Amino acid sequence: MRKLFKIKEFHLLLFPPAFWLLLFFIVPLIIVLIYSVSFRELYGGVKTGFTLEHYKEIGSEMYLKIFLRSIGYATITTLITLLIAFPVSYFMAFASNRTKTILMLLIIIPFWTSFLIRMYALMTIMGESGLVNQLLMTTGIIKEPLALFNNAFSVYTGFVYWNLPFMILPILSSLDRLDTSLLEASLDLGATKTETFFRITLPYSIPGLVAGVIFVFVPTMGNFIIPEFMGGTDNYMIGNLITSQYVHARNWPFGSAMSVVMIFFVMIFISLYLRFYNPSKNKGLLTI
Amino acid sequence: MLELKNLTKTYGHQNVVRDVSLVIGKGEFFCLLGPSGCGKTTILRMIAGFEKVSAGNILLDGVDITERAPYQRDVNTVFQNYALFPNFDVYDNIAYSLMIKKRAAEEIAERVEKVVKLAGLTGFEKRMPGQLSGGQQQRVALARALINEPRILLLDEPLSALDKKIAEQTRMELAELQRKVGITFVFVTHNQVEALALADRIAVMNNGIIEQCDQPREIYEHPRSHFVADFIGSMNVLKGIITESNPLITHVELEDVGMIRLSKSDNQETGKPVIFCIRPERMKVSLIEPKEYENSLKGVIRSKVYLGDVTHYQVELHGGKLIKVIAQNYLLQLSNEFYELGEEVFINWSQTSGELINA
Repeated sequence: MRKLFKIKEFHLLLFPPAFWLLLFFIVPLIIVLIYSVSFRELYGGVKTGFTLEHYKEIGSEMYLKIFLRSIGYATITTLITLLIAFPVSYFMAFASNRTKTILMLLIIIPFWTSFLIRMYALMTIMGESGLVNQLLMTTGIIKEPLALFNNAFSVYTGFVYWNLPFMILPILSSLDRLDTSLLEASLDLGATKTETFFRITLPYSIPGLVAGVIFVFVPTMGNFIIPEFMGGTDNYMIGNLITSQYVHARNWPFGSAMSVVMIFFVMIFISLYLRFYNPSKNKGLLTI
Repeated sequence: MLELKNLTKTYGHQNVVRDVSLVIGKGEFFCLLGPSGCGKTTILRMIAGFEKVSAGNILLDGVDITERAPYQRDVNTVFQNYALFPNFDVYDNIAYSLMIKKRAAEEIAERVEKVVKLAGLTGFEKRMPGQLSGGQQQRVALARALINEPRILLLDEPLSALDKKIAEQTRMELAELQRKVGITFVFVTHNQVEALALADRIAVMNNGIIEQCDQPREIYEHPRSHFVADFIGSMNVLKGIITESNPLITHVELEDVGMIRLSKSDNQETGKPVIFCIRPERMKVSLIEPKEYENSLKGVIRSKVYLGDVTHYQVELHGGKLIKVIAQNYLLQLSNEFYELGEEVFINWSQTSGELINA
């Protein structure tokens, strides 16, 4: 009896977060869903009703292109981030405690600065008369400034820069738990360092890798600030489109419809991904 | 045959292993015994190839393997925590080295089955390491290391993580297994009972050097350094000076205790400071005056612990020294001798018992 009572008390703790989620997540989501099938009023208002015209509009070539571009950007960003983050995590996991602490600080310190300020800093560095171009020009390596800005390159740079910590930290936390005696055992049993990496280290890092991929892919998909700052109008992503529908075009129903489609895609992506990755059955990956 | 030549390991300014030379014979069950931090595990890790050698050489059957990577050595290891791959089942763990070598599936299956049988793991092939008891995990680690039939099997405290009962049982199985497979075992432990029970030869280590390397009986009966005398088993250690020595008898004046005689003598020089060591079970608590071939000290019984098979006494000598004596209870019963706390007794022992060690 006593134990049951305790569990009930414990459950009370769930009320604040449940209430929070209900108010600021579930309810807005439902509102967005309702808006997406509502009619647009002339001066930006929303008139309740039922129509699928906004969803039809998304299917038009222009919007579809932006949609596909968003998926492309998110996918490639995730891949680049992964390729850069993995070696860093690997190095940190096997570094001395001192080195690890210093590197950890270097990763975390940028968070103390506002995201916007960091983006402005990136702009200053990469702009036409920015630090990089000036340095290359004064040293005479190039004559004309490189186009580092307002193109896909700068968008990727911004995304990768922004996402790296979210990939490094989960992979690091997986690799950190890797008992080095497992690696020694593998070497001892005749595997070279490369074989050991692919058979032991990499599979061991998969839980962190999966988390990192989700942490990077999902927010990148919906991000609108980086394309706005770094990409110019040619690199608009779905996030920009949604923002402009809400803020500039004042077409809330259409913005809502696009949000719903994006949420739907992201959900499909995550569920497929989690389904593909099954922690208890990742043996297939181990026996390459 | 494994040969260590002047093996040295230095971390910064600290010498962990100092100039160790050893020859371990083929098929031998060799034990490195010592307290933690004595360098025994470092030696093992250098043989396996996990630690770089600072100086010296390691020769396996005459071939220098000092600079070889772990995967290039015909040596396998059973790790202290077993280091089983948590994502592999028992079968894959054991088959790992054969899969690395890309052997045919039938050959792998055949050899795994053989070694699974040998390790008594039949029926556990599909279990994951997390589903096994400590003893079973230890067998998997053993099977995984043995499947290659290495020339040397290194075992790093393989019994220390097990319950006492299971450790004792596993100890016996390990000895039997070693006889069956005939592979040279190099066993690292801090547990002297394991070492005495298992090893053909023991190297007792302290502070990075080998204090004594010999058969268990020699190590126990004739320790050659103060450290070995103290570390192995229970020992009474008394300081003294040699007052007389001839081929027949040695007289030693023990500090705060008095004169004793030892009938074995290898012509020690007079005046030399020595340490006299004697095992508690070699001494006898008695009310009877000593015979002429016996040494004797007088004291008072200060503690008495009955342990079923034996009784442990602590006797305080008149000089204040405490001497441990272990008596077989069945002998006490036969002679109807029972001593009480505070009783004034003799401690008698034969002049042939005890060892002299250079101080």
